Amino acid sequence: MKNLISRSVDNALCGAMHVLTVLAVAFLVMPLFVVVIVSFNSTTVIFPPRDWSLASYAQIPQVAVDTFLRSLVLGLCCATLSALFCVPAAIALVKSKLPGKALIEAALRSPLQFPAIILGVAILQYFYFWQGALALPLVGTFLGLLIAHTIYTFPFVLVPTVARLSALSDQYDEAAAGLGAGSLTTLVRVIIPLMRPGIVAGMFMSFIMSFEDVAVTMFLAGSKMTTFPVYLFGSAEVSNTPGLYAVASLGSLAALSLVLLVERFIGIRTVLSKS
Amino acid sequence: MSSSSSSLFRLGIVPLAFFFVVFFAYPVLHFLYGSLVVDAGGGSSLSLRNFTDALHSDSVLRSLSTTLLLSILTGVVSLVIGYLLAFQVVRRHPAIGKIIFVAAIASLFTSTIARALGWRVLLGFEGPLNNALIAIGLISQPLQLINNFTAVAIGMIHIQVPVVMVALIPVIEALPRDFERAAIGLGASRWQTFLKVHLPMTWVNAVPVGLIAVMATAAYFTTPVLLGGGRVNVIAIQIQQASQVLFDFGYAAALSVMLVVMISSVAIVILLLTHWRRSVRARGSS
Repeated sequence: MKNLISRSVDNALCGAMHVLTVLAVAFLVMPLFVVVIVSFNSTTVIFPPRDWSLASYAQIPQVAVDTFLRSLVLGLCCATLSALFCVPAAIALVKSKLPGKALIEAALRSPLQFPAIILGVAILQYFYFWQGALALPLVGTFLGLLIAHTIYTFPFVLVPTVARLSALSDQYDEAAAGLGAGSLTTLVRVIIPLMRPGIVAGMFMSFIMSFEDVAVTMFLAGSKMTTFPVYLFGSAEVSNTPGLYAVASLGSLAALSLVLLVERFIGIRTVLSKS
Repeated sequence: MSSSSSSLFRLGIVPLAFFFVVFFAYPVLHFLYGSLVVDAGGGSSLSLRNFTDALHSDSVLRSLSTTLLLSILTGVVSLVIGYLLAFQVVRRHPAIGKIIFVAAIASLFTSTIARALGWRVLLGFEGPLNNALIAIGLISQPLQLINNFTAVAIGMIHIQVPVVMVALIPVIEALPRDFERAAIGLGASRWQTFLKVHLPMTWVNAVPVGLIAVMATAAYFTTPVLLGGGRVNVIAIQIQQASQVLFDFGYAAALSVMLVVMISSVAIVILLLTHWRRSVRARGSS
């Protein structure tokens, strides 16, 4: 009897857990579906749409396209620059006898936990100072955004490259040296190619963080260098039209296609477990 | 490896370290230091006036408590839902695990602004959620679900759940399956196994994941703006207003220091509690 009760309690609780899981999955995907479906309205935002049409897609403003392309280029430059900074730094942190390694690595990771909004204001103030002192315009320029995005996202490249390099056995160096390669040759022809999964994973995360950032960019973009998420955020603040949802759907679709590409070639779980 | 190449490799840190100091460490420290500097008459002097101003402002105090409540609520709920989902991904049938994982990844990489827009429709006055609640007879009048604290909390939980879930998958995977087999072999039910084996052995590693969600939420800007409708005035909004509307960087810096202090105190308290509980448990069992 007691056994029967405990078994039925067990079944009930496991059932409740399954129901909760279904609800949680619905919770995760509902807003995504709703955004796409609402974008098929023609004039007003209603769910479900009364008159299905593609009108909102035909009326996507040029500024959406421009900012989208700018964000794309900015994200690519940011990921590349981060990799150029982080690969030599990771080699120095793992392969050389650098004093205070742990401390340096901890310091270089610190932007990860630092609030983006404070970083944005701090860099804005700093750029104003440079503009005054050196007449070097950085607010509202591509260079200024690139610097800020790289500072904000480079730890996403540093962490997986250091992890990947630390996991590589020293036997690779020994084998290459035994075959007569100098240490620089070993580095370029053996070690860096072996680091590639870590570098690609990091560059992907760096790109995504840059491509979706609002908190840092909104301070630095000015009126001429608006990025896609800042444009979307600004429009969402003041309006609510099917066109807005169409732009949001297409932007998210672009990010998700990139995720699919990454899944196809290196596996999204590998990327996420490294950062 | 020869020592000459080691010293050559060592130089690889220089560009990143230089970039980090010039564009992160210096600007951030200089900005935060600015909270202590006040323009008085002709020159500037050190003073705590920015902080006393902030602490005497009702709106700032309300922001601090709203931010604290929002971030802890988000952290706790996201930890519970994220743990549940991660557990299902690791321990359920691979096909079901895959569906859950894909749903979480799709959500994780969809623009946070698009997701806020989705909630704007879902929670709307004549939105699907209100309609559904009326249809099943739970309420007779539509509820005010949007432009308030609840809406922001829902939006923030939606952002943090996939993050927490992804971080918890390795934590749960690290627990050997033999443990639960042993528990079930000894007559424990599935539910008891979860409660007495899984939870006690993973929660010490799960709490820091929830803590990251708390810290990220405390500094979040876009979702509170888009779903709060101006009524949920978190600290991040105050910082943005102080710097872009009032152009008062000293005041913005004082608010930033308060945000950083708040986040760090929460982190310290939670980590101390976890370790205290653990050391008590260790002493009790020895």
